[in-house]
Amino acid sequence: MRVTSDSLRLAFLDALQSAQRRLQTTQTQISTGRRVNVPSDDPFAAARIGELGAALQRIDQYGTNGTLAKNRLSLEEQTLASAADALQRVRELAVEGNNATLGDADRRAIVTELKQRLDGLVSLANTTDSAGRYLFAGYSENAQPFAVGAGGAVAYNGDDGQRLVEIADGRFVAIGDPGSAAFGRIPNGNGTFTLAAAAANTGSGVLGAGTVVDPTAYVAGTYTIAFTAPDTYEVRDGGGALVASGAYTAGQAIAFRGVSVDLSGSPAAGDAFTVAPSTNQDVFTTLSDLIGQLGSPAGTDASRAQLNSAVGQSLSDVDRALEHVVDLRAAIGSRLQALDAASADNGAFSTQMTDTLSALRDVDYPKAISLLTQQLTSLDAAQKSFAQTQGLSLFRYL
Amino acid sequence: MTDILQIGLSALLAQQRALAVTSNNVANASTPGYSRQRVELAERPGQQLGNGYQGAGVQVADVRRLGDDILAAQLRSAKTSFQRADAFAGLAGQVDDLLGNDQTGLAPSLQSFSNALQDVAADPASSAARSAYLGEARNLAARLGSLAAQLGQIDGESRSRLGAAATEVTQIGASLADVNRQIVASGSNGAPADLLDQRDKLLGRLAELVKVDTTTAADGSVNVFIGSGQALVVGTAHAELDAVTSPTDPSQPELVLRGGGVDADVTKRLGGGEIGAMLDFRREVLAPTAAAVGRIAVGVAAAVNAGQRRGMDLNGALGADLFSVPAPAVYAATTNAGSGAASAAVTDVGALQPTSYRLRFDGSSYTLTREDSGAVVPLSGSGTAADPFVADGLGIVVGGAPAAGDEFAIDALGGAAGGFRVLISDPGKIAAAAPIKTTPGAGNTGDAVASAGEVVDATDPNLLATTTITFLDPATYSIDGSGAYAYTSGTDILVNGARFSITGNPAAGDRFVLAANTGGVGDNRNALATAAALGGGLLDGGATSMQSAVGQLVGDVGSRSAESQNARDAASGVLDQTRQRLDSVSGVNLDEEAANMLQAQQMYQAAAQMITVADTTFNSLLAALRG
Repeated sequence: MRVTSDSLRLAFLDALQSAQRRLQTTQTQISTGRRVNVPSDDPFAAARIGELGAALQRIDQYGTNGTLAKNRLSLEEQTLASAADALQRVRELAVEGNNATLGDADRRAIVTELKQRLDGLVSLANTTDSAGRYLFAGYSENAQPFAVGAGGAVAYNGDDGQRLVEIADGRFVAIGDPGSAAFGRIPNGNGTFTLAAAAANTGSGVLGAGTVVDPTAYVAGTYTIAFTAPDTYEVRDGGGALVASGAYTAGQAIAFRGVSVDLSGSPAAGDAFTVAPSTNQDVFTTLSDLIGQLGSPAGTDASRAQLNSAVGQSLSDVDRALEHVVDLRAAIGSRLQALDAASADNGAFSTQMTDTLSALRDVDYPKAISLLTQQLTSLDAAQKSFAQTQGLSLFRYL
Repeated sequence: MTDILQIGLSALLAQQRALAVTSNNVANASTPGYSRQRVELAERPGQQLGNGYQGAGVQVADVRRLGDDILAAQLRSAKTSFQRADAFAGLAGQVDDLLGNDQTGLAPSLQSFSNALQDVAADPASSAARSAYLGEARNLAARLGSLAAQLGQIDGESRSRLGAAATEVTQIGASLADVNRQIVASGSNGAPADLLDQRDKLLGRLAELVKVDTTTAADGSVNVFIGSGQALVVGTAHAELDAVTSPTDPSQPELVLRGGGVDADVTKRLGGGEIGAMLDFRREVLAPTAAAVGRIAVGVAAAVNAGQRRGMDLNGALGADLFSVPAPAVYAATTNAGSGAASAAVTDVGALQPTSYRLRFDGSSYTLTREDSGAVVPLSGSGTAADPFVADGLGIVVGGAPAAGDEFAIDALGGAAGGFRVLISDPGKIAAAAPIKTTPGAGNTGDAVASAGEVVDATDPNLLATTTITFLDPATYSIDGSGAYAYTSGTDILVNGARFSITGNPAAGDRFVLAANTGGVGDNRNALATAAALGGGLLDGGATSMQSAVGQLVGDVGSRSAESQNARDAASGVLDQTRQRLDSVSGVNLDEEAANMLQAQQMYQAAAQMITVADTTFNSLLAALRG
């Protein structure tokens, strides 16, 4: 083919242009550290890079959420630990107050401390986080959830809301518990039924523990254990039907319908004790009841028996409350564990995605630099060869 | 003697011509469009002498222009392809840059917005988190707005380039008609080489603008056709190409060819070159990109607004829309003869397709076609306000008295990103909370629990009313003291636009209260639900999330751009080869010219020598005679 002077020049210019374009691409890759700078560099990778970047941002957010959840849950855990300590002390005080050797004045001192403990528990239940929001208010976290009313009764003004945060794709963890669940809804008595001595009892019969010995035989309902004589009792259900009867020996449990009720002392004829299904009670009511019981004077055997029976029952209420707090702390512990597990998963996921992202997006420096050197060499060679071939002209020899 | 003189003279003259042609070649060695010329020498007719023929010297038979019409046509075609690919790749590269850029890309701002919503969910009572969320909402709106504005600029550029190209086509048409006139006037002597070069140059430039075909008439003039055979130049008459706004869709340009008193819409008949590149780019990249960005804007707005409306804000009021996007634009063609009107609204975001549409009335019924593929989309419904036509997630209402052939352009998404606005400025108005909550009665003895409840119909006027479920016995409950409904653990109870369920074993007398979530500033149920909706499948019937829609868009545009760059490189290779082939016929090689010059010079010197010899011989004869 005939070669013309202009086509030589144009061909060189084209070659120069494309060599410089390639060089520019490599230079951009090296200076930005990225292999894909515009989507057309690698459309598939570009689409993936965007999605991976967004996914990494999302995982970062889960990290932020997890930290917040951890802080809230740790604070709740600490608060509940303090509440458990307080309840433990309440239990000790109740046991002490139930001691027959104590006089009214001694019990008043115990009542004073119990009142402080009650105030302490209320203020624990009104704990706020660093932003001033109540931990145990449910959704209504700007309003103080627990308020002590005129009669000393503690009212709950929050709601049942429980906030979840997302700690990994589709994984949520509750970052609190409403006060109604944390400090309330605790079944009283032994968790199944409660015992009470009739206020008119004149004997010295004292209620001990009640247990369910045969859950299949137990029928929930109100039962009355009535003493027809100091050594004879009969058990009637809510409808007045006779359920059981027998002779009473002090210290020997009375059993009927799968339950067993411990009774000690000497009840008088006409004394009655009731068995009723447990109801939900909050921890503040339990404490107020205890304060009320220990605060009433007990001069006679009968009133002392009343006191002992009532405080004994309150003690089981306190035990239920302690169990409840322990269960809740265990639940919080497992939430914290879930947080740690999610955080570890997110970390592993994030590392893996970062690696994928880097493989898709980042430039392989040794490769890019060797490419750059190669491109520079070929550009240099093209320029030199042009300069030399341009010098060639027959006209120079004329 | 005279023979020698005459022969020598003829050689001198011929070589002078050859030198002149060579020097003209050298002079034009780098003139674009110049075809080299060559002196064609021929013997002069000899004369018969007694014992044979005696040659009579040399003459210039022709100064030939070394052109090649077939190669020139191939070069034009290569130019058309290259210019189409080059201009397309240039514009596609701009869109490519726009979407790939970290600063202008959509993926990061969408995710930042979602993350800010998560922050609100984690601490809904925090006004800092709420303000940050609004800030991210504004960022997202700004990002969408700037994307729309930059796409608008690219749209403007492609339009003005189309206009400029149309003007140039008209000018070239006029010039070609003029050249034709001159060529015809030069008659049978053959057209002057410079006119032919000029014509090839004009045709070459025209080929860069649009696909060109030519036919040569007997009188030497060429007829020029553009696109798929639209006559631009016939003999000495030429048509005019004009870029105007489409009468059927003001957002689109239209190319009109005016010639012979007829105006014809040739938009769909022109291809190749700069014009083809602009038209193809608008159809293949710009419109789908704008629609895809718009669809993302509509999707985000729909998900977040639906969430807002199902929630309760910090002030205890039901949430209002956070974003607004413009309603679909519907244009009645200015050429419509009837008085019909049409309007459209988005009815199902999940069914939206990234395209615009054309609605045609044929006298009895309407047909909807997609602008991107031309496919007919089946319409359900009757087109009335009560029962609109429904197609691809759009509800279309028609009215008035359209005439047969009337058209409407429907652009549901093109304006969505540009018109994406944030409506809320008060952080308290972010509806993070659910509007309702359930509370178990304080004295409940059963172990039944109620779910928190969710909104089914946010427009129910009694949504925030208080409803009490009381269990008459473990298997029956009443609502607000009336009725006796059978209880099954876990089944939904629907009341006043809300839904909740009770699970477990209730006892007689247990109560559950469903009420307004008053004071529930710490509630994040709605924020979580909105975040889940925003992160889930919103488009393509739930198959495509926002982030994957962005990924798809980036991938599509990237592929188009990469494809057009490959096409440009391939076309550039073809163009170079074709140009070299034509150059190898028509181009000037200076070495060759130098050799030709030397040859002509030597011939000239030899001829001059011949004159001297003739002179010497003559003088010798004279001297002998004088002698």
